[in-house]
Amino acid sequence: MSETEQFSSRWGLILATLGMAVGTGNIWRFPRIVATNGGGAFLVSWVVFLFIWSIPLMIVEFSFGKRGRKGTVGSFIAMAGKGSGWMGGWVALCATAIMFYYSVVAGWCLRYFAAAVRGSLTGESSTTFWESYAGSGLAWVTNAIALGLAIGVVWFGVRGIEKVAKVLIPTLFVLVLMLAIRAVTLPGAAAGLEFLFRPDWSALADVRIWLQALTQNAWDTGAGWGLILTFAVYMKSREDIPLNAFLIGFGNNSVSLLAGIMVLCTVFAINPGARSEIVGAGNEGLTFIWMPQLFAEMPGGQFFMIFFFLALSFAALTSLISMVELLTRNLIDAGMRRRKALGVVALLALAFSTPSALSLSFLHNQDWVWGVGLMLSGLLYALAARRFGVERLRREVVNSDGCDLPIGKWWTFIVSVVVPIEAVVLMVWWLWEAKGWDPEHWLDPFRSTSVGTVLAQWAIVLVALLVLNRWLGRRISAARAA
Amino acid sequence: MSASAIVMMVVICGIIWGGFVFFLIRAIRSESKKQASSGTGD
Repeated sequence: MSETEQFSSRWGLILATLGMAVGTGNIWRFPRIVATNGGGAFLVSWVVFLFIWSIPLMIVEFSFGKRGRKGTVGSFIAMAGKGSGWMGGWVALCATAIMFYYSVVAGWCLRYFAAAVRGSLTGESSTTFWESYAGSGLAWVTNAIALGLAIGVVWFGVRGIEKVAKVLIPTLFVLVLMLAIRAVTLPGAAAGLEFLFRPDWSALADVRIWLQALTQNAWDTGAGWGLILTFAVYMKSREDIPLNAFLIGFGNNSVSLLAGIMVLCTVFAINPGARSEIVGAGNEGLTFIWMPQLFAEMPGGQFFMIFFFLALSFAALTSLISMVELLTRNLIDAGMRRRKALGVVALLALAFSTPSALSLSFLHNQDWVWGVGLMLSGLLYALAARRFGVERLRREVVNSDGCDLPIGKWWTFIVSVVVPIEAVVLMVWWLWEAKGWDPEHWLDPFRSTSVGTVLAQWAIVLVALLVLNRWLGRRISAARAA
Repeated sequence: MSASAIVMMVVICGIIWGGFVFFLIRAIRSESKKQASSGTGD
């Protein structure tokens, strides 16, 4: 790997990876999930899963990328053997399918930021603004702009990603911090803090709270998505793994906590009577309908609305950049030059994001299918690590040269035993929950959030990957030899 | 705010933000040590 294909420093790697981890899920999902799952009790389980899901899997991802020096497909082959290309392929396809609708979400954030700056987004008009925009041709245009920005950054390689992350991530931290400080200084904000942190210990006996906390960790830290592995390909050979993983895990959850404080204090200070309606309005309802209404009633709200949508745009764009890089890296491994690979990524992304840009129902279907798919990705990481030897991975890669925080055997146990159990339990639980959402049509593959649509789309992808498994291995080997 | 909520706030924020600052300082120290040792040719 040439010098220009490496992060220039540890801080470049950390900021780029933090940018990947901190996404819209930290800002729009976390506050809702805490508010509807027992507040303080949820936070306890959320902290527990940071240690027994997110950080251990981040360490696995870093070690695969650092040792394999290829994208997901090549690194899985390098770590778990020639027959394991399909596993890396699943991880790549899952993250890529998410990219195909995440670019739409990033476009929404950019559109709302622009509207907030121009003053065309007001509290009274927020519902009609959203309804006339979501799923329209303009949503496709903003999706294309978001993709263009992300592809433009990845065009300049890892140094381009690093330069952008060094500006956007510190700015994002400052923006979220400012918004949180503004929210806690609003009259009545203490009720929001009470709601967020009040420990309802009986909720800890509810298994759903724990499963929601695990899900939140699986979705918002980026562990198991393949994105950390992709950035780890560009880390220096004597770069630390464990301390970086802890720093990124805690940094990501720090932003989530700030976002929770910001949103719930704002809700309780401005419109406490509608709190159940607000937190139950879903990600889009909370962010694009309720938040503009709440900002409109806040002193200086116009400025804070601009900051809010700017922070959301930065969070979305830095995550989208990492998704673009993941697919690009895999295509480079298959023998393409970076710019040709990016051209292919641009065409694919524009084509496959179009249905999500034009239909919220399609976007929700993809969010459901591949969101649960990430749990299978986590399981595949653990299985691949077991094939390599988890203890061997700890000794030879994780605790190797440059390690600042040697990891004990507890990590071996968590990756070998705990993570696979968590992944299987989560997948089964989510599919079981979905069965209850629509008991009569739960197996119908054409329903937006049915079990059938998950199984059908997974089956198509898995069969295709297994059929192409040998070809994938040969393609990567041939490109490496060339 | 109730006392139990305040205690929980201190504990959770302490773990998450305290942890972040702790690991950040540790990374900064470690990085400056590495820079110093590479600068002296060790």
